[in-house]
Amino acid sequence: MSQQDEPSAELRALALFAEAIANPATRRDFAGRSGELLDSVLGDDVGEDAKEAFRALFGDLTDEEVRLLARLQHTMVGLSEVHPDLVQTFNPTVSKF
Amino acid sequence: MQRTQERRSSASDRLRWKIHLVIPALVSAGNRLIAHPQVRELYPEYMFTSHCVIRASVPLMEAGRAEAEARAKTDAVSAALAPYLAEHITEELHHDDWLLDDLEVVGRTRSEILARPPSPTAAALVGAQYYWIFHYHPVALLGHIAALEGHPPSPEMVDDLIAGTGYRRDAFRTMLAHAELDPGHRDELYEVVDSLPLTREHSAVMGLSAIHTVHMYARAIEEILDEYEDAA
Repeated sequence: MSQQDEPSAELRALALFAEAIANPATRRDFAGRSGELLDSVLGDDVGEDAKEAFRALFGDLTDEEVRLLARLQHTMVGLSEVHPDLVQTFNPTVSKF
Repeated sequence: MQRTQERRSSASDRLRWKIHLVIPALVSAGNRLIAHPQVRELYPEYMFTSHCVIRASVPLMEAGRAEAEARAKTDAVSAALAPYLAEHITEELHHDDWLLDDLEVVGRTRSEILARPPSPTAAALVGAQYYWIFHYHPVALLGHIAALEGHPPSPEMVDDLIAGTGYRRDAFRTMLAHAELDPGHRDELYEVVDSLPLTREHSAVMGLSAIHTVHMYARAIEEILDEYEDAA
């Protein structure tokens, strides 16, 4: 978590999203009204900037993507263990193409 | 595939984020492998798994290119995808042979590696791409490539592996080459992604492909680790 005690707004948003899509009823609703649902899921705990960025990146997820992410959601919640600055971060792995 | 996406964020950003959602599992599995007390025994097993994936890279792209060319007259995404894959095939040729050379350094012969059946996990990792290419859309393959080329080993990671395993540096030529080459390939790929007239469904299948690849690669590494669980 870098040097911060508090998780970043992006990570809080991610954790809330991961928790929400673990619920099948929420998942089923997601594709039809993703923007509204993201607002509801993220609530007041996340700033408007982070909400907007989150909506831009994940507002278009399809049913199948949400279902797959839900099955893997424990890895999403563990994201903070890697690095909070997600997109800008290079996380080396042992993968090769 | 009806509607073109609104440009609220770039297609490459969305793909990158989808990968970042699941990459911790692969980072964690790789770190556990590198730090494992029996990494010297594990490394050749990891190389075999890696070879199972890499041996399919060029054939997968050839399949993707053939399917994209077949669709190109009526599909703008395929028309742009085919030349990218054609060029990338030349960049990835013989990387599986490099890995076989590395395996010989750690005492595994080419014939032994090529005779050994790949695991169902490796088959599922790669095999899903053939399904998406032939039965949905070849653009799916870009997700697989982004997942694998987006997070190559760092030189420091390779140094740790060399120190941990005690193998000669020339047992790591493929890893070192990918540490150097893949960041450039990743940037080219994301430029292509942003140049394509993608629909929401194209983006979705790239995302599914990338997430599946990361998940299955992590599982493949975990399966190697499981075999040495008693030594950890």
